[in-house]
Amino acid sequence: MSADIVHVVDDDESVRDSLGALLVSAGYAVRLYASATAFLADPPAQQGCVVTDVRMPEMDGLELQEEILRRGLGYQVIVMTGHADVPLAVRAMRSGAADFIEKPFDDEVMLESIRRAIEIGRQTRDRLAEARAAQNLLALLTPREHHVFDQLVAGRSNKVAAYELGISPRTIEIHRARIMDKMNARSLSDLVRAALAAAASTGGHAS
Amino acid sequence: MKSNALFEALIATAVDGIVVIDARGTVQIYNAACERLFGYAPDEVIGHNVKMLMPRPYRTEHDEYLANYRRSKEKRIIGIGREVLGRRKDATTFPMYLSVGEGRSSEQAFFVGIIHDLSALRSEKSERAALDRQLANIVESSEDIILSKTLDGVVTSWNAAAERIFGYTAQEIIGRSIAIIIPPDRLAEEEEILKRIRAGEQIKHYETVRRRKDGGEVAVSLTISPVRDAAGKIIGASKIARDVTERQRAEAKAANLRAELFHASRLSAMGRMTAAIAHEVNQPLTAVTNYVNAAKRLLAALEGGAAVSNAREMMEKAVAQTLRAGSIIRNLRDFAEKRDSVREVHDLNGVVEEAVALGLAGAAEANATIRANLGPDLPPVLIDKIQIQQVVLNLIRNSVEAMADSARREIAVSTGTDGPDFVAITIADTGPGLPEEIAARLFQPFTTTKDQGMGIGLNICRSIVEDHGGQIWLMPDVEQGATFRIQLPLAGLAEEAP
Repeated sequence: MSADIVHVVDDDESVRDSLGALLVSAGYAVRLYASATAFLADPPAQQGCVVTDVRMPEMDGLELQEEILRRGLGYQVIVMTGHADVPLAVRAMRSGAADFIEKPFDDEVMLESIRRAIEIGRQTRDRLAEARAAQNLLALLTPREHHVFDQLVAGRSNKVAAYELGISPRTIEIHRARIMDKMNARSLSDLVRAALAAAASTGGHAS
Repeated sequence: MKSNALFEALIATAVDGIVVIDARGTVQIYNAACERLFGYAPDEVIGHNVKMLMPRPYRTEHDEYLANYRRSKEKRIIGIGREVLGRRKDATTFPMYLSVGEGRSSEQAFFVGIIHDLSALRSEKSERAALDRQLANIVESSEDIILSKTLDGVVTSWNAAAERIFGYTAQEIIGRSIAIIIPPDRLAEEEEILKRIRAGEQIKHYETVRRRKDGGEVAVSLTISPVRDAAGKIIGASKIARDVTERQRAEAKAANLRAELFHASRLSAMGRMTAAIAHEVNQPLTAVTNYVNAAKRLLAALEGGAAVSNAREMMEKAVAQTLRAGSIIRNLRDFAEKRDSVREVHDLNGVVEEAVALGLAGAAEANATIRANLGPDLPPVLIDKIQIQQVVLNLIRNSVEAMADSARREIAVSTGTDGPDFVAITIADTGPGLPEEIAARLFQPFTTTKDQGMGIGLNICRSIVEDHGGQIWLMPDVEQGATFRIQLPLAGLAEEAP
């Protein structure tokens, strides 16, 4: 597999460098940034996760986390802290941090957290890709086909759908065949899955 | 003639008044001294009845008296003399000593009166009496105990304050030994005091304890002075005692509060420092852990046999030790931060007043004054009283120190509402103010204008105020000195703060 990238954002050089060494030894590709602004100035296109310290000059780790969320950059963020207190942890989690790790930490704890963050990121991306694909296919349907599609995924029979839409069951049959074709669906359950995927992305991460 | 001239001279130069009357009371001779005494010229008096020189009732009785004497020869004043009142021309009276002698010439009786003015003597006496009365009043109405005793310790006077404070009436204790009010373990002290009094020494502001009639003890500050007789011989001692129980109690309370504040400020300074150190040490510790773990992982890829596996084992142990160090720091920090804040609803003015009272002690030493200007009807605040007092006291102390070289040394502490949601405390001084580069990073740790100072006071102040959901800042553009403002949320709002 191509190495997942971990972005380490920490103003403390020794922590930054040593964490980089640890992650490289564990097989990750690593990018190091001395500040949140340096990271945000040119956010890399590659996916992966961000590990950052809560306490940094200028922009701290939580502000970075919030900024990533606000810009919809899609990174999972792991926040490190010298001293975990409850309000800090609550704030981090509320703003969507993947994890909150106290320094110094056992390597397995950090690596497991990174694995999980990357996995969550991947799943999120996969869901997004699926949703995007479903949306693209849905976009191919005509307005009339859309109406028929909505009836079908709502579980209506051809007869009920025909009655609802004021057209003949026969016409429904024709629309249905065309919809299955356009959506690359082999069965009604494929159609329902596509509908759910497309719906899940509504209000989700923009990209 | 010679004897006549002598007689005239005698009459004219006599310091006392001389009046000669005939048996009917008609004035024959009225000398110069009389003119001064009575204010009448001789021709106004000579040939008139002497009773004009007398006030009532003598005036009305005199003729009768003379007639009586002629009949009975009963002497009431003649040949004796006594104190009577004279009447001046302006109708005022004066005390005089009148001695009367009886003479006879050619079968006519006459009387010689010699008048010695007593008014000067009298007024001196009455002044002294008035002064005595006044002094007695002062002693009686004194809030302080005033008493006197002989050199043997026998009480000779005892004022109202002594009655009130010690519980013994003057009647009960005068004539008895002062030892009644001395606790048994302090009797030696009285011996020493009397010894020094006999030696003519004064004992000032001697703080001790005395016993009341009910057995209770009262803290007193004594000033004892020797009492001398007219010849200068020491015959006793006067003692002024002030009940200082309340003062001592207040002092003890203030000292406790100061100690508590001091302790709190030490603790929170320690907490801040521990936190700072914990953060600083955690970074290299984290780096060490990471490096060793990275090296361990690199070694794992090698086929190195026993040596490599030994090295990996040691690295694991090294990591375990760094993690242990990390947990020690964490515990230390938790411990230092554990002083739970006690938030209660308080009247801000009361809290500030106490802090100002504490600040006064230091200010007085530095010749600075503190003026409190407390706003009326402030809504209550939910605060840790000790912490907020610590902030106010810290600012007062800073001001006092800052004004050391200033001509004017005044601190104004005021309170008031600040919009609908806040109250504010303002502390302004007349010192040199703060240089801009210091002002900019005033609340950061390790910023100080003092030769000996860590520069964490304001940093702690800020964390305290912010913990309360408030703010503290240096007011910009003040005319003179430095002015700090502390803003605190009202009780209702503070409860919602994190």
